[in-house]
Amino acid sequence: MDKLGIDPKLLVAQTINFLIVLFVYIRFVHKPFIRSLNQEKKKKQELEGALSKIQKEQEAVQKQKEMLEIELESRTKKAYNKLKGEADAMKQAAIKEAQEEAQRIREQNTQIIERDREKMVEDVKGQGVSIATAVLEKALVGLTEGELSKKVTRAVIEKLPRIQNE
Amino acid sequence: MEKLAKNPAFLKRMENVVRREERVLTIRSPYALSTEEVKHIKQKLNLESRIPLRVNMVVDKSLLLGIVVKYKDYYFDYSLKGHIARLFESLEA
Repeated sequence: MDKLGIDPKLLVAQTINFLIVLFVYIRFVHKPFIRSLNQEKKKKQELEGALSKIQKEQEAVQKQKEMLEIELESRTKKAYNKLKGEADAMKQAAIKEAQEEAQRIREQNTQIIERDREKMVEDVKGQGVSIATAVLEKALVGLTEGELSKKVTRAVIEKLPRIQNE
Repeated sequence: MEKLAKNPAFLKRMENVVRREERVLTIRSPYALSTEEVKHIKQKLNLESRIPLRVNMVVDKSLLLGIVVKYKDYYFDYSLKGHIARLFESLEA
């Protein structure tokens, strides 16, 4: 040992010293460090789990949101179509009613015009007869009681038809 | 019944009915017709039977010329006024 330059006492002392240092290292550095690492790892895993859960929930919420949007769009479209249909029907009904009313008014007006026209024609005819009679009366003044009137009467009497079964 | 007897419209209608049965000849002319002319009219109308006939003469100068004869439901208008009226009736509006 001496030839190798190794002092046994020193070796023992160094060995003891090493063991003490090793003990202190293991006891106060290595174990807490490993413990701390494990805790960190565990915490990280927990956080990752929570994150994953949150992400899953977020995805589910997103999916639900999309479904709700689709459903909302569908319902909106359906309601819009329904309202549009009703509005169209109301519009058509209003147009039809207006057309019928217009037709009725037109017919009424036509009837009124026709009635007025007939009345006017009758008036004109009546006035025409009166005017013509008055004019002829003036023109034939003196003749109606004279020979002409008697001649006409005789001619008319000849034209009278024979009444049967009398 | 009494109410009906006092109703002028009903009386008028009854009068018309009786007149139709009564044989009334109404002649309207612009001047008073002579007996000869009336007789000629009765003859032409074939009304010279033994059954009594009442002749109702009406002078209407507005007829201008010709005569109008009415007997029961027969009505013959051979007057100038009637011709004018028919002429206006035939005119289109």
